[in-house]
Amino acid sequence: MRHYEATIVLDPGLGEDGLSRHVERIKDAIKKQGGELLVEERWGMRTLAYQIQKRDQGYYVILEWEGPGELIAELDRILRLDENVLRHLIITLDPKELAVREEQRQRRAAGEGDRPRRGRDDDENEDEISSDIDEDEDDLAPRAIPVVEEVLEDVQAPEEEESDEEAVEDDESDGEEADEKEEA
Amino acid sequence: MTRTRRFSTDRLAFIDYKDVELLKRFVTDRGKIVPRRQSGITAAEQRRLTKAIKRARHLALLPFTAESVR
Repeated sequence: MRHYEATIVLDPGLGEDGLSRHVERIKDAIKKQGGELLVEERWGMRTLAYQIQKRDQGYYVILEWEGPGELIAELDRILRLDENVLRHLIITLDPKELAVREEQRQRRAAGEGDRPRRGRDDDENEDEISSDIDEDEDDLAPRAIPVVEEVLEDVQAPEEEESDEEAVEDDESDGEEADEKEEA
Repeated sequence: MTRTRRFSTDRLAFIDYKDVELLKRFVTDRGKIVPRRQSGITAAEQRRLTKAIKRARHLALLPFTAESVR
């Protein structure tokens, strides 16, 4: 018995009833395959970050269940073939991840932030990350160098711009992922 | 790395791809993933973060590309 989580984006054009029925159908499919539904979270309508099949909004549903591994292949097949399912994502959560996630949630509920207290000052700086990111310099070398070393920056500038391309992004793979999943 | 790291590892032990608020902070206004040398997070965290971001993009919770404000 493994723990799974699936996020499904449905076509809003279905209408309220249509959507509910659809969700039920999916849940039934899970149950029929031997899955035990744990969580059903409905985010409802959400504006998409980009158009999918000409639509700007989607109906998001999140399901968590426990079940046999064989269920996944079948569920994926069903979701892929369903024209009303715009996107879906099924992931496996292993016990360790579950434990950590649970812990994080409890900590957040207790208002402690995501980190256990370590007695360091930077506990207060949790939100500083967004101000640290210099968004104006988006396509230039992002600078993480304190003022003191500014004199050296000019010298290093040409090198910096090249090494800049080591950014985590692998744009190609993103494109491929998007294409693969759109065939649904 | 010259910037003092701001996060200890426990903070990002589990990065939920559904947590758009968190994810957004590690993405530029153009939608690109922020490099480690700027965000200061650990290599392991960055890997988890990247996976989460790419999943979020697949689910249209985050864009692949966004127009930056001119």
